[in-house]
Amino acid sequence: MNRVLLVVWVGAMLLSGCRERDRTTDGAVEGVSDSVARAHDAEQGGMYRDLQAGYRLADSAPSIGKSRTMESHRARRAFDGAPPWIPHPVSEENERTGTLNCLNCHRDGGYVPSMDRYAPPTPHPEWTSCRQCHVPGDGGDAFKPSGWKKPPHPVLDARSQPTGPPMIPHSIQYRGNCLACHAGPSAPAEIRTSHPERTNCRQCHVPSVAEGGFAKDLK
Amino acid sequence: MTEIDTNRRAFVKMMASTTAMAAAVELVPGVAFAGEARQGGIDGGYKWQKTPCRFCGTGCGLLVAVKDGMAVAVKGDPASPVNRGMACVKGFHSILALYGKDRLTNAMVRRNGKLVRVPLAEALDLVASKIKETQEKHGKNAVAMYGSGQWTIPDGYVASKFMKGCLGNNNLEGNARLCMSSAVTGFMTSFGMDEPMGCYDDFDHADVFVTWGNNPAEMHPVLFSRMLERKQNDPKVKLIDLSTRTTRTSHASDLHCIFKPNTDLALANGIAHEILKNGWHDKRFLADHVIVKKGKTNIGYGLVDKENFKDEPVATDLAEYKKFLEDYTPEKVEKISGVKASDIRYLARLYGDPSRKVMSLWCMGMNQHTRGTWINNLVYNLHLLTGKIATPGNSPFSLTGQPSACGTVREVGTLAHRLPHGVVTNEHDRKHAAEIWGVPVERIDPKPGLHTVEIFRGLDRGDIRFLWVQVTNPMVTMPKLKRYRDAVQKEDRFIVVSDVYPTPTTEIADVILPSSMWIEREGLYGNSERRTQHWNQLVDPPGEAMPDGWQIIEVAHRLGFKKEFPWTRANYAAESYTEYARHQAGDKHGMAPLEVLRKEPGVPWPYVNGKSTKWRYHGKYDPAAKGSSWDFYGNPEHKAYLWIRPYELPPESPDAQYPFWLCTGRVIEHWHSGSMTRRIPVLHRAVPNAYVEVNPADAKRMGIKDGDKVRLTSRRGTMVFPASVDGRGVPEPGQVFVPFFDETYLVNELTLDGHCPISKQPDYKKCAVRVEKA
Repeated sequence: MNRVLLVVWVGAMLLSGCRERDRTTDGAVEGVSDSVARAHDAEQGGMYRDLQAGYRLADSAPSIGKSRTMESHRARRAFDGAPPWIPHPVSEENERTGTLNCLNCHRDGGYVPSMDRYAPPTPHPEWTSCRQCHVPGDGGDAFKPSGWKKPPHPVLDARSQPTGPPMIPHSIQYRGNCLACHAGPSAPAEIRTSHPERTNCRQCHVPSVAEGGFAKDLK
Repeated sequence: MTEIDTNRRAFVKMMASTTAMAAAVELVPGVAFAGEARQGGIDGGYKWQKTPCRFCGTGCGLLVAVKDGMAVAVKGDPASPVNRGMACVKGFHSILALYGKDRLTNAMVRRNGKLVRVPLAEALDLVASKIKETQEKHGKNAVAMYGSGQWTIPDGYVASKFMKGCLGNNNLEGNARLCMSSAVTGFMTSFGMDEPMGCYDDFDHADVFVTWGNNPAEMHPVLFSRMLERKQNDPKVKLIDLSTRTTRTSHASDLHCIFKPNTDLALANGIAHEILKNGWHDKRFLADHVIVKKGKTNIGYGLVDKENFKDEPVATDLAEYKKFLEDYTPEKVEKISGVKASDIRYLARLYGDPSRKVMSLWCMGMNQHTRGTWINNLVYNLHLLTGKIATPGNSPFSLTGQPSACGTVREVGTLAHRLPHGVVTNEHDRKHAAEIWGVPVERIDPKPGLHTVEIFRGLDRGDIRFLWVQVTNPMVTMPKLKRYRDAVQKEDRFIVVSDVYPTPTTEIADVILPSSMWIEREGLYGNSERRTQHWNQLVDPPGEAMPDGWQIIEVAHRLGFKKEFPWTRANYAAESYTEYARHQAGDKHGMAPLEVLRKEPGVPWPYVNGKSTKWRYHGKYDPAAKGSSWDFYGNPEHKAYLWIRPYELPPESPDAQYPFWLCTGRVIEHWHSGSMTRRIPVLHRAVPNAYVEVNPADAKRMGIKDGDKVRLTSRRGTMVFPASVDGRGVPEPGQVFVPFFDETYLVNELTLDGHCPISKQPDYKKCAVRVEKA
């Protein structure tokens, strides 16, 4: 089993490497694996040409390792929408800014054997000074006790009618990339979409940006 | 099914999922929806209201959500041109700083050595009567007030009017004396007017960023991300880090040059030498817009009480400057600074290349420097030599440490020699202030008061007997701390402290006044790029907590100054800002009116005819500038001054007894003395205590491992710290670094109170220590 994990790890790393080349050659997909080429197509058209990929993606629960839950997701933020802190040790190497150290795992996600779980991809990989917002430390209190109370979490499944698509219950600033958090094996099961192949999320899911409704008196 | 088959399936599945994520992160850039997260709307169930960030001088616009009277969420304001929706970890968690369980909610008075809770009105009565008593017993100048670059503009203005306009006392200082006064004297001596000519738009135009003793990756993180963004968008863009220590900024740079402490003076002169030698200087610009000056040398370090330095500038010419620079050939500068001659030549090429726009950036490394004014002048020299100034992307940019060091301390002028417009020594400026204040002009003392270090020395000597401290924590942040802690505890010294949490400064207070913090009151801040930002009160202060400025007004009323402060607690912020703006009226410093500031995410001054001036001193952008090109109207000749300033040694260098350099500074997680950020769990957990960074080679030689106890000893004091070896910052061999946020490790017991004789700003970056494994 260990050997297989190693293969999986190497595979994931190769893939990240491919993405890196993809980026630096300014759109050229030469030498990039088929799967990445499809991803590239998706960038162009917003939809997979190879529907087969979509079918495979639909079942994106983690096949190995531990799952993440909404509870663990929320436990790592001071409030919904706050940048999550880093729940694992970081070496001084990880502290380097302007490099891809954090992004090695958190740009594309993928299984991390040492943690036995999938790394969640960041919704904003274009920002590389990661430690500007994300700092290490999990558990414990402040220097002096804090009276901070987390505000209530947003309702997860707000729909206008039972079969309607759920609305987006949170601010989408810096989190406008839905699939980063809502698809794939690193997504908490409670918010994982059943249809990640439909990448135009906001065709059906709309943010709630105003209170109440609209009505007009007949004049 | 065989095991291998199962695993292969798992692998294929994993690959497919990973690919989906790869697609996901590329599909939609993170900023795509910024426009929708607009100000004032309901988003994610919250109503968001604007405020500038409480922390650094970047001045990010934030949006804060309030629910049931509590601030519950923060995000960057997408409408703010400063941060365009971004924030840093301090900003995101800033609202948590309001809710520490040990918030000061009531006034306390020390009786027989013990703090006793009293009604706020009673404490204010006592403050007023003590001011009166001190004036009568020891003279009017035995009273002093020490405020902050975290004061709001109205609060600083109220302090200035109270001290200078009512009490006729110029012993008013702000802690920006410890962080920005070298920047001020740098601007004043080179351009005759304070604050940067450029603005943050320069980040989008510059091709080269040169950071001078500056670590924006941690101290100005949002601006640093703008530099990284610029680099990503254009691979030709270079980031050059000049520093004494390896930091996160160094790791992201294209070239990192490490110079020996204090030798930035030689380095700047070396670059200038090379520019002139190769004829890369802009001859036309120099002839039309620059005057060469020189001042005194060997100017001392302010180490002796009441040392009073006065420079005697003399105009000279380019020929003398060239001759002076012969001592600064790249090879000679390499010997002094340790920076390779080839790197100095490369830097000169970057500054000298007419096709590249250069932005120089600095903050405490250049300002907390016993030659702070000089090094500011010398970096301006590089921009003046090449004409790379006051146009988009060509920008010597002095970054500010505190959220309103510019807005309050420098613009309102809460400094011993200043008035809201001009200086106390100038009769015309005194008349101008007295007229708006409605006070007799004779009441304003024409003699400057004591600067910060001298106020604390005065407490020791006995010429200061009453000190009111607001929004700052000097019992953590004063250099050579022991002398000043002993001083404030002497007999017949009365200390009033207005703060939000118990600190080492409240420990020495005779009266503690609870203050409203940040969004618990209406206010205005002014950031590094001359941007004034307004916020409304969003939540109620706890208990009897009161805005600092209103505390001053309450005391002023008790002393009979009702006419000077005819305002209410609800309207004083707005009214005092509007009155303050009258001092600055005109096309060189006009302030935007309140109704505009209420709507906009900040408005830079000079605000002329409904429009902000982005680049000053250039006719194309600045309505106050005459002609179609540069007009340095701050100086009487309408020209900028290029200064001949030599490299000199600092007051204390390592020797056989104290062989290491000690540098102090900050980390991204903590703000100043940590009294707010250490009460934010996320930030405290990330960096719970101070430490001493030791170079790995030194650590190996001395048998010090990461986490070991290390004793630092200077001529002033000794202290044991946990070691950090090869951590986020790495000092050079023979140097150590300690962050100063932790009140349990008061590193300022060790530092020296030597300061720049021109700016009076202490040097926290250099003193000599012994390092031992404890």
